[in-house]
Amino acid sequence: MKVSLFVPCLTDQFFPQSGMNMVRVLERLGVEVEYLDSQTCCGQPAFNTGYHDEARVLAEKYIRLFDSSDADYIVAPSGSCTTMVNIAYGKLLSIPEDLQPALEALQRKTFEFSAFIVDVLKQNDVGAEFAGKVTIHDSCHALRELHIKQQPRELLRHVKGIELIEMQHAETCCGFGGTFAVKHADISTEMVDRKIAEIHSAGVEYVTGVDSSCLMQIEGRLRRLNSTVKTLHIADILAGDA
Amino acid sequence: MSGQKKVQVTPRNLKLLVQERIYNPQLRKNLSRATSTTLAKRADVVADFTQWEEMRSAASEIKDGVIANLDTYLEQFEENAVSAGATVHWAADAQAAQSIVYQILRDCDAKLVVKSKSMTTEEIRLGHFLEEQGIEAVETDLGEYIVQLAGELPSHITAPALHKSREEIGELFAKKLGIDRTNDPEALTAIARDVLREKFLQADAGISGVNFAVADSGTICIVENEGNGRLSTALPKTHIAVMGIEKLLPDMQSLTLFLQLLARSSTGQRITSYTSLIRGPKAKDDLDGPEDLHIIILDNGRTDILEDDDLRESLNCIRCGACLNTCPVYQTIGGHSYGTQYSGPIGAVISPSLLGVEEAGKMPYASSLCGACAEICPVQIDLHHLLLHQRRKYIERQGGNPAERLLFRLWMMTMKHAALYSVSGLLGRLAGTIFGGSNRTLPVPGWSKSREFPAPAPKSFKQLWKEHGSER
Amino acid sequence: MSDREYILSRIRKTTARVQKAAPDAASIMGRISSVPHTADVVDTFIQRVEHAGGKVGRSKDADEARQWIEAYIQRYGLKRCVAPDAVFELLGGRPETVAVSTAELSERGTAHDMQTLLLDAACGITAAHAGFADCGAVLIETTPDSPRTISLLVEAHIAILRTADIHDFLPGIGPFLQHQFSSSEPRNLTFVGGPSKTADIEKTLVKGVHGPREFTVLLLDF
Ligand code: SF4
Repeated sequence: MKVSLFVPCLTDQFFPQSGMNMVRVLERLGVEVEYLDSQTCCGQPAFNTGYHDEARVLAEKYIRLFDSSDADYIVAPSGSCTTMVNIAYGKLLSIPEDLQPALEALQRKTFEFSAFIVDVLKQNDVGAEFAGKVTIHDSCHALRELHIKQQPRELLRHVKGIELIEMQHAETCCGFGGTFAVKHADISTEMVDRKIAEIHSAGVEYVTGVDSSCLMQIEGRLRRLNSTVKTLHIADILAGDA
Repeated sequence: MSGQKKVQVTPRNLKLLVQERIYNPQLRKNLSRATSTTLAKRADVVADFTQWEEMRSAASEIKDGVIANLDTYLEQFEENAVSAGATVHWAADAQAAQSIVYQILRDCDAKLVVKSKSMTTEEIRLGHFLEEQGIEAVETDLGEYIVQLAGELPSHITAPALHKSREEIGELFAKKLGIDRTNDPEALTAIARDVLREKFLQADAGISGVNFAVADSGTICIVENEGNGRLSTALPKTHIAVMGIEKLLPDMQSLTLFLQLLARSSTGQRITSYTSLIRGPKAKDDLDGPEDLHIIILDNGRTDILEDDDLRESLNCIRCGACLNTCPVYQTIGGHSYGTQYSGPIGAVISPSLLGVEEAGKMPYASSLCGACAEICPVQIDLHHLLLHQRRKYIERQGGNPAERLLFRLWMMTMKHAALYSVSGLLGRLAGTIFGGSNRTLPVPGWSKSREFPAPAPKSFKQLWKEHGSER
Repeated sequence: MSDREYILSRIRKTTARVQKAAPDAASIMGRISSVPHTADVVDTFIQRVEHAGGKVGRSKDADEARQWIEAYIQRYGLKRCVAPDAVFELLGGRPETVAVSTAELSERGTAHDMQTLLLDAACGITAAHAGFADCGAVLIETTPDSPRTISLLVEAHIAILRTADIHDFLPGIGPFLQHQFSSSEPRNLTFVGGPSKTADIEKTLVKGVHGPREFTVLLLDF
């Protein structure tokens, strides 16, 4: 089985370790992994802000690029970027007719990382070890657009040494929301503060999730508040063998 | 409260209105109490049904079909309402509706009007208009009465005064009604009851909204808990009901479904205390009830929404307010921050169409697009997708902020070319090393005031992948 | 162009383009027409009326029903009860307390006199067509001898309901309503699901905000 990696620009530039950890886990599970070097961004920031023309240029580039791959699946360490391709490209951003068949084919084989392992590879134990108290934040797009809720939990529960603690309101938005975090920074910050209050009262050392963007928002605020709680992408935990 | 100059209430000033409110701990407490209580009650009663999802999709299907054939249903409704003795009026916009109401009131020489809660009459600022014409128009729903006394807009579709604490209401009543100060909800309600009962008994006309209009019998349905809706439509000689064109349902059978969805979604009740089905004015031998029933069918921007293939489904809204309660942004800023009658997710979706893009085009940006609204909506409106749609329309119409537009252009050009992208990544890393310091933080306008922004990693994924490849 | 024509023509522009069939409401409703109830319908009904702030009484025959009403009026310190003659017949006569039939009310003179009487610590009794276990409401109808205000201006409202008329699911009343509203006469029916109440101040429940403080269903098991 061959998987082509869809590494969002945020992961590429800011959290490359998480991308590499995803590679490690997939390879450990015996999957052949490829990476199309000329990929950049799926267009989500422009799309979410209303600049559909700009987003469409990138969507077309994305579709053409991945259409050229012979991989069986496309896997991304992000629910949000998977949503962009699987939901937004099709329903919300009008993509030219001639690219439709290619898009539909891509949509059928594109998966978020944790859902790919559980739903496609049918694995729930990736043989990882991790010592620490961890809570998981449900990223909105993964949860509500892709219905990813149990998959990451199932994987985490099978990690040796981990203590998984559910926080209250795990499903409530962290306040990131793309350009919203900057355009409405006050609201965004109040929202993440509520999330952080829940994280703290869960008494954990780590927060994890399937999206680096939410984790960047949570981490950014945790650091400003001098909290000792750390954020980790789920791939970082699943790659752990020590 | 303070002598500070208040920001003018309009969605244009959304950011300033947010500023005024977001750090008010009392408001936050009131908001979180109200929304969390209602959400918990809702969850309890929704759990009655294993078929809740089927009920939602059935409702959405019925509504879609009605809206797609709205002309037929409206004509059918009109014919049946008229045959039962009602007078039906049509109003293209707020002004037209106002003058129809004024005409009716002048014809019956009305001096005092009792109003029962209605977002549609809020939308056309009817109370305000009537006051200007020298007609006393008293809001009789307790929450509406409170915001009327305070000279405010309702801050929630179904719970207009949810932003106020008992202390604030006690202070307001003492000041405006000249009574002894009390903060006891029971006592405050009793005071309102006394004042308003007099008004009910003396009123010349009652004005209500319409929750549902049943096409095949010309019946209007009014849903409420206090009994003010029933009193407004039982005591005065004239009843005027104002409804948007989208309120229609095909028949009684469908109505029963919508009643179940509405009560549960709005207040977490299984049914409200009073759900009135009114067809025509009083019957000839009835001992009470209005001699005349006027129904005003209002467009006011709704046909613009209808025309838009994406937005059309927002006409399915039954104004339950659940999307407000569940919205983390609404919970943080409250209804008044939006600067318009319709707040929260549904407000941000429809206001740009009702008020114009100039006025309300930025409302859809006050959302993190988390989708909790769409998840809870009893008629399955894809609210967060509609917000995205409205954002696109805003950019198309307004061109957006020129600097922002330029930024996205440049960004797109960069992202289009892998090489350019890599170079800019390098530059980013360079900036990170220069400005990031040991803290590995990059200053980002808007972000960094409250949060750290990570500096780019020393090596990008692309670089790490190359190294990984050579290791293999 | 009149506003009516303007609005309809704008709507038609869209409906003509969209070309979508009218919904088959009956078949859509058919999909959700039953709700599995494990609990007893009557028990569920009672529990849900109480949950909504109402009360429920039960009687096995007319005598017991009358006595129950008598006791109710005493308990709440009410001065009189007002009901249509049809309700008194159902109860096999009038309770001993001051009872006024709505027919007498209308004979007394003006609407104002009627209001004054209802407002003065009265209990209004109406018959109910049906009750609903899923939501704990009853359906009452305005008729010449059962005016709107006897369930509205009074201190307490009692709805008399035959136990056999309790449906398990609100949509069960659809056909009845359809029939009720099929003529061209004016109609006024109300689902009553509790006392007049508000939670507008800090979500604190207060009863009797504009209408009756007490709402009670008296079940007739006979
Ligand atoms: S959009 Fe949906 S949830 Fe929001 S008020 Fe309307 S019906 Fe209720």
